[in-house]
Amino acid sequence: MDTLEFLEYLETTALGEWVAYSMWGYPISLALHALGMATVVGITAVICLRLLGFPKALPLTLLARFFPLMMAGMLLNAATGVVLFLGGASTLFYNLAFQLKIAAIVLGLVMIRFLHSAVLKPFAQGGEQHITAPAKLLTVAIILVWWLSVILSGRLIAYVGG
Amino acid sequence: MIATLTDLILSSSVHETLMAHSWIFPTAETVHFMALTLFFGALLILDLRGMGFYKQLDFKAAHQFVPVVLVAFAFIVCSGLTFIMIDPERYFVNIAFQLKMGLVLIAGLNALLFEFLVFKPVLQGAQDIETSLRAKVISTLSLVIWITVLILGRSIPYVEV
Repeated sequence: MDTLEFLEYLETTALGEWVAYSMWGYPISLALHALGMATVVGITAVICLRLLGFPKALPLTLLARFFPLMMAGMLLNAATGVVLFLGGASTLFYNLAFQLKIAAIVLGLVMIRFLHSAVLKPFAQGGEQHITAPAKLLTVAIILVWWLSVILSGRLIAYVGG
Repeated sequence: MIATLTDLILSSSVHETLMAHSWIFPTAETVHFMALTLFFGALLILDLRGMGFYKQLDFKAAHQFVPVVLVAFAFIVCSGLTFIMIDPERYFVNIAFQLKMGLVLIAGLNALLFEFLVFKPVLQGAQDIETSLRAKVISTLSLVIWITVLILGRSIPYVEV
């Protein structure tokens, strides 16, 4: 079985057919994907804004506690993302916008992981003055990758052909 | 009334200008999506605090997220208006769009309720309001309504007649 055959096989699975042909499969998956997106990117944006200094009244110790919420959104998006992929695997796989989106997600995940272990945890114990310039740069980079590229490329999937 | 408004938009120079550039619609979509994530993220923390979570976050301090929510909302409205100016016929008759607009209005009134029935009293020293059922109900309502708005918005292309 070559790659294309496998991708076409994915479309014939129960979930693949549900999302591609049933009346509600696609809109439901897409709506939940948007909800997950708003949670993941929204919480990330708030954490990044706080690391850049706003709003000051939000304690740094609290930022790490937003992570479970972000993870919940991430799981929802991974699950609905897989379902949506099954519905159009053979075209999505070769869609440039889709490929860019997956790359941006992976890059973002690595940076979020780094943000958590190298920035949030130590700073939660240290305090405001420990937020260094490189850390601020990292947060800006995360905003750019998650916020701009993932959403932009995700939106472009609808416009770019396979 | 809707027919008149549609005609008014379709014959306007703004509509013509926006239609002349094919990149405007997808760009407005991207702005709409980016702004809604910031809006939802800040709102999520604000509402969850109102519901009684994240107690370490000072109740009044959480209120600093309101300007963030409002700025994000301004971007959402501007990009949303762009969609309408480009294709009013598509939206005005759409049931998901109509429900969404109704809920946005209700959510706005609900936010005012929070402002005057919860935040103002707390600011004036009524500490017990902070953990009251009133605060929890209004905050929960806010979150539920906005999640529904998000889902309805994403459904607009799929309920077209």
